[in-house]
Amino acid sequence: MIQQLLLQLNLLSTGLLLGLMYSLAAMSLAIIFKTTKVVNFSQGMLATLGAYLLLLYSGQLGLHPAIGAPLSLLSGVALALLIERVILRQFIGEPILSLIIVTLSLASLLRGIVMIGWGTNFFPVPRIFGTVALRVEGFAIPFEYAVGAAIAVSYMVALALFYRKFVMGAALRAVSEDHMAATAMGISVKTAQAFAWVLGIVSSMVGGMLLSSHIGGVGLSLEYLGVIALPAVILGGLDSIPGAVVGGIFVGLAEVYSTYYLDEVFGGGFSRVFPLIVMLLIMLVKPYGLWGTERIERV
Amino acid sequence: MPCGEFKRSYFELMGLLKWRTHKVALVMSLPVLMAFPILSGGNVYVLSVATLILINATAIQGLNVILGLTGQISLAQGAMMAIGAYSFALILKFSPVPWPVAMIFAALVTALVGMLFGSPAIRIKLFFVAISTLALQFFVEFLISTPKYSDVFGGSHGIHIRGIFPTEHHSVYTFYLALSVAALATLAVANLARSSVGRAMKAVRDNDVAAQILGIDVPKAKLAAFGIGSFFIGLAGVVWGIWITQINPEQFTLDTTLDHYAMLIFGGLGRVWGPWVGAAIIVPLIESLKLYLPAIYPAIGVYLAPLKLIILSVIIITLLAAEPRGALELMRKIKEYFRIWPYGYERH
Repeated sequence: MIQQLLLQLNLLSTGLLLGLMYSLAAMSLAIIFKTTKVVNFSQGMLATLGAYLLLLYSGQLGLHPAIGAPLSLLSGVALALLIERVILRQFIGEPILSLIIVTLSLASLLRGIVMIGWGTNFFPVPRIFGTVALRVEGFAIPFEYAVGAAIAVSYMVALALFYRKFVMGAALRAVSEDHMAATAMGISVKTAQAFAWVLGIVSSMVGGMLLSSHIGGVGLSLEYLGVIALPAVILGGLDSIPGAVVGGIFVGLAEVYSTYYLDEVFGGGFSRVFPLIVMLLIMLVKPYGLWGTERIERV
Repeated sequence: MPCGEFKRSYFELMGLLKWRTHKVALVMSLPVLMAFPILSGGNVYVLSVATLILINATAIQGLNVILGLTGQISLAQGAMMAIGAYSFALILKFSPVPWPVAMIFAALVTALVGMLFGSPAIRIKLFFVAISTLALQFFVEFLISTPKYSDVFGGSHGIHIRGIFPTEHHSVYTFYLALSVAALATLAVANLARSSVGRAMKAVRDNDVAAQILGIDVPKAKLAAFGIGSFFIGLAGVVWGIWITQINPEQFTLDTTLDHYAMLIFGGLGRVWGPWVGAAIIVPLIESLKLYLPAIYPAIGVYLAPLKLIILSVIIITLLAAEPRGALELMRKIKEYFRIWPYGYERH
């Protein structure tokens, strides 16, 4: 009985904390989609790149993680601005089709660069927060999880504050409502879009770094974060940031529970596919998700 | 005297080969293609690259129906080819049907799956179809590689497709098979594009709201595109399976999608010849890089795979930014420039 309870508690906490990391990735998709109407299919690779940058600064150059992490985020900002300026600005007003293909190719481009820089090996990462676990009678929360969750939650709170309290946040909200009206009010759509890309890429990089420290290493397999974030945003609604958080947590829970209960039934690795199946069902029933803006555009 | 070709009747406009260039090109290229195994002088490598071009051309022709004609998106190129190849192998393994019949059935299975995962296109817009086909890709990858079902799909080891052609003539026979499948696919798409179904697809691509108002059954056109397109992609998968004889999950990843998009966009979306042009230029480009770069810099071996990724994605991004309708359109523009030179526009 007590065994069962502890098991459930463990599954629940692992799922919740994993879900928070997925939430960061899903938020990245939602932030970018809200303002630019682009689903960023290169998100997973950007998260992976974040982890690799942390590896570069902290693991290979030997900087303290407290310096390395901000430094890699700064590099991420620079990269986001570069990508936005050089590639994505060419495609403002182009058909959605082109944008989907461009973000996908961007992912391949980045993967190629990462493979040239680091090869395809799996690198163990320095344990940022040590290996200490909060342990109560067989119920263990790895310390990293707790810190990861704390970082994720504080990032979300900061983002919510940014959207509510800052002028730039208000500008971003305005642009996501209507490009034309925002321009008429003197808001630069281009700046807003660049800002959205920066915010989105930074959140997926934070997600990637936390996930890599959770897995215990950096490898190209982290790119899966880009796929697992899709069911999360579909559930929450593509343009809803709170929806992305809820969706991410749901996907984390779904993955952990299906790893425990369904992998044996359907074969190893099923837990990775299970959220996708749930997503397909949601798309059939409620395509705009729980909190997404419904666009009546039926053809 | 008119400088150029002009059609005098609707009947002439409806022809399959409308322009003189097409007829000349066909007459000149058909013997070369038919006699290619002889022309290649028994060089198995050259023949295999040619076969690869033909298989890719078939698969891209399928993508062309979905993306080029109808403007829908499918990111599951690898998965669709896998469905074709695996169902072909399984049909042969578990039933005594002759292989051409199995080939048709495998392609039909792919068409069904394609329609199923393309069906979100009926209700909602592009992103969702992109996401659902991406899910299909990962679902298929899971199914064919998980150890749980390895007695059916062979796990990471894959399935061996038993000798369809005699081993000593394998490359020549598969070349002719690939050639005939690619030619049939092209003919079918060319005819589709000028039929009422094809025109409905083009209308949906150009403006689906307007198409609906004109009385075109938009969901039917979208589903037909996914069905027909997936059919050809499945066929390409079958030919791939016959050619490579040992199919495994590593051959059908998301990278296949990237390859096919690069080739299709290079050749030109929605053009019947686009897939041929794209495949015939990009496949030899990649293959010759694989062949010659290690000869120049022996240390480059590890970097070949990422280099290929970078080259293909740069091709896609620059082409989409500069000329979304592909290299053929670029050539047409250059030709047009010289035709009306020295004027900037046509004078009447």
